Amino acid sequence: MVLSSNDKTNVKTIFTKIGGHAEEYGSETLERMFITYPQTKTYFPHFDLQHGSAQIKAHGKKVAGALIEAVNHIDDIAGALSKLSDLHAQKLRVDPVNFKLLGQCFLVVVAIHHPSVLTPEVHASLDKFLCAVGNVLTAKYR
Amino acid sequence: MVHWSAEEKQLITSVWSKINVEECGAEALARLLIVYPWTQRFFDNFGNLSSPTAIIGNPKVRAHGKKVLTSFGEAVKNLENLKATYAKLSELHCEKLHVDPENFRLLGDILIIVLAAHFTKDFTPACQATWQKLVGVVAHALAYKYH
Repeated sequence: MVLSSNDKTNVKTIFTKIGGHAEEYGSETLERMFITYPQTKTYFPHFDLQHGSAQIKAHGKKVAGALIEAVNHIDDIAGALSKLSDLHAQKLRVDPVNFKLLGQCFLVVVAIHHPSVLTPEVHASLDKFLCAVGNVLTAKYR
Repeated sequence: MVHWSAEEKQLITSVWSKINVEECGAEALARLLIVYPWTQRFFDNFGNLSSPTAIIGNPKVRAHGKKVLTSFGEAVKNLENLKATYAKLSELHCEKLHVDPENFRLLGDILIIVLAAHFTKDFTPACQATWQKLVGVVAHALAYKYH
């Protein structure tokens, strides 16, 4: 799966629209993921997972930051996220299926806040981008 | 058998009552074909699917989207009995249509996005969780008779 130049443009456009809300969307994504897919909570036994928790805010900020980094280096996502990829492979070992679940929740959050920007074409590009990020993060698993 | 709390049932019926089934169904199917283009493999006889614009404007896509989501309405009416409700449709999708059940999951995920865009802030986390559960059990019921 390769990101076309249209895909890259669409992803950059949507992240420009998201602007300063990225961290907030990151937290909302995580909260929705923990509620919709409770099995994902198993990776955070050390977290307070209640609505508004400082830990969810902080972690949402990290996740958003990584996505922005990937967008800013969209021609070389593997390079940009190489250290994160190592971390996931060696330490975190989050099962690959969970990246799809996170991606689904991020799409929901974007749909809620920017319904008119998430046209079918942009939806397709963003979904591809999120898959690409998930693939990079699990690439060194074995 | 799947258990539905009173809150979940309320979230399901309240969202369903506010959906325009024809519009929502058409949108969901069009997005499925655009976001996951390999799903077009089942629709060779639908005519022009060559671009997102063609897909969105395609009358067969609209009609089929409406049909699919109308059938979803049966799930909403029969939450306690989904396997029986979808038994015949499950056999049809296996024996005649030869659709990989993964496609039901893909369509379910797309429907969630369509609902989120439509309801925006009203599509609360609880609402999302309930509907994600519903599309999951519908997909499961549709796959149940596969052999």
